[in-house]
Amino acid sequence: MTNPLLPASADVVVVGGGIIGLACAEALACRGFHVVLLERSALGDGASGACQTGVGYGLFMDPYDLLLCRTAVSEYEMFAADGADVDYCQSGALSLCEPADEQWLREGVETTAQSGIQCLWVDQASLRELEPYLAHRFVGAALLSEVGSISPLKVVAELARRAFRLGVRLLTDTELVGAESRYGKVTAASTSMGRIATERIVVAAGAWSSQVGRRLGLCVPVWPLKGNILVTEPMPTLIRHLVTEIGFEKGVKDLSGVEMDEDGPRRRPAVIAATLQSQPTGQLLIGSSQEFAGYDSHVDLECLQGIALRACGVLPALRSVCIIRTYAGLRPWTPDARPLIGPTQYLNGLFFAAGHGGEGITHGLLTGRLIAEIMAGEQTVIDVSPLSPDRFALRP
Amino acid sequence: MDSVICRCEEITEAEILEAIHEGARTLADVKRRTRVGMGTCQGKTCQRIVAAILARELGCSIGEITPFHSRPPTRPMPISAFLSDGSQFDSEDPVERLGVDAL
Repeated sequence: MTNPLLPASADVVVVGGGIIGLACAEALACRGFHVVLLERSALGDGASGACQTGVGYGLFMDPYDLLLCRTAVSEYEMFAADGADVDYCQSGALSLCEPADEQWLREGVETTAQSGIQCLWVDQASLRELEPYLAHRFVGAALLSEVGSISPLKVVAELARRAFRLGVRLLTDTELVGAESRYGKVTAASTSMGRIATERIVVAAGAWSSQVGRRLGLCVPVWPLKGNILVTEPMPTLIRHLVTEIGFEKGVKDLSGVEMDEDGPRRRPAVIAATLQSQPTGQLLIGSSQEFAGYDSHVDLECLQGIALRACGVLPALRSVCIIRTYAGLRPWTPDARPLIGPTQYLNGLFFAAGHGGEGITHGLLTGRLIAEIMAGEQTVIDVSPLSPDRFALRP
Repeated sequence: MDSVICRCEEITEAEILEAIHEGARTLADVKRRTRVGMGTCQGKTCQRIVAAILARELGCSIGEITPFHSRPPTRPMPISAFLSDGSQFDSEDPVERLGVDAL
């Protein structure tokens, strides 16, 4: 099938219409590139529309990842200052401390604070003042006051609007099926609607980037890490901060020992820890689980039960609250928990902007900026060499 | 006067029309752009009205409009219903009592 609206050529073809792909398209168009964006279903239909809403960083991150997150957050600050209505606010985040974890968490606070991040230990009495409805067993918490939140679907809509105004062609229900190349250089993108002559392709397909990579003859190590979320009815504000159980940090750490099979990470039971975040609508988003379960994005009742149990253990008042919706999303997980941002030696003209794990919302705007800076030959705002896709053997 | 179509999220007809004029073609498109149907009733009241507006604007029949993805639960359900035995939450410290400390 050939779409009469399909442009015959483009400077850049971006694959993926989530926050990352849209941010890339918008930033590239700002620098004068003629961009066509392909989205296989609808804008924001993947992880950008099935996630939580925090932007920021966590404890126990290494200095480079912290710097990356801080730079990413300042992009949102600028975006909001530029008039983008995306519900950006700095609510702060609290990592709750179980009695057995006090020494470990206090050390984490100290290390994090030494990297220049606003991070404080909050004792039990102060925690009760900050969040009076939490269960009483917590001996304190780590407070990251610069962590904030946004409404991801508003970011999607705003980026789409800006990209459209800058002349980006947004083609939904359109897939990349392959690429043409000559002498190791991209010459065209083959799409489900026809051919687009181009010298540059950006893969920003989230958890599906490994599938897109396969169509280009590459083995891209980005795999779906599933999460389940529950949404409550609107209610009076019970918590003001993004509240996470310390098990969340432990779970993230635990994922470093993943065993790989040929078709991705070996399946294993979900890691569950409560994360709670109030929304501007009065609803509360309750997560979260981390599970390798392939590309199935249906909710998993056992995970939901586990999340509900842990959430009630953190915020007992939830017991009488109604759940109105549940959903699951697929985070794009990579073996070293860092995204792939930049070009690859395996195919000249191919770029990746994928594999952001649980931080795709945080890193969305920054990733667009980095891709545009790289393509325009500008100095990047942060050193991107640790993010090079070529740290992995994409063609074994 | 602009009518409120989605009462839960207070979304007006003008906002829905704007979304359609910006390219929304399905109920899910309108939902993602406006939050219509994302409130307490999950679209039970407004879904058919939004479908009718879409059909009118796109010049098709309501039957051709793709419905929302339905997300469980069908009706609002107390979170305690997700727990195997809600009665255990009478305890002061439910998590300890249930022995779920070990991740």
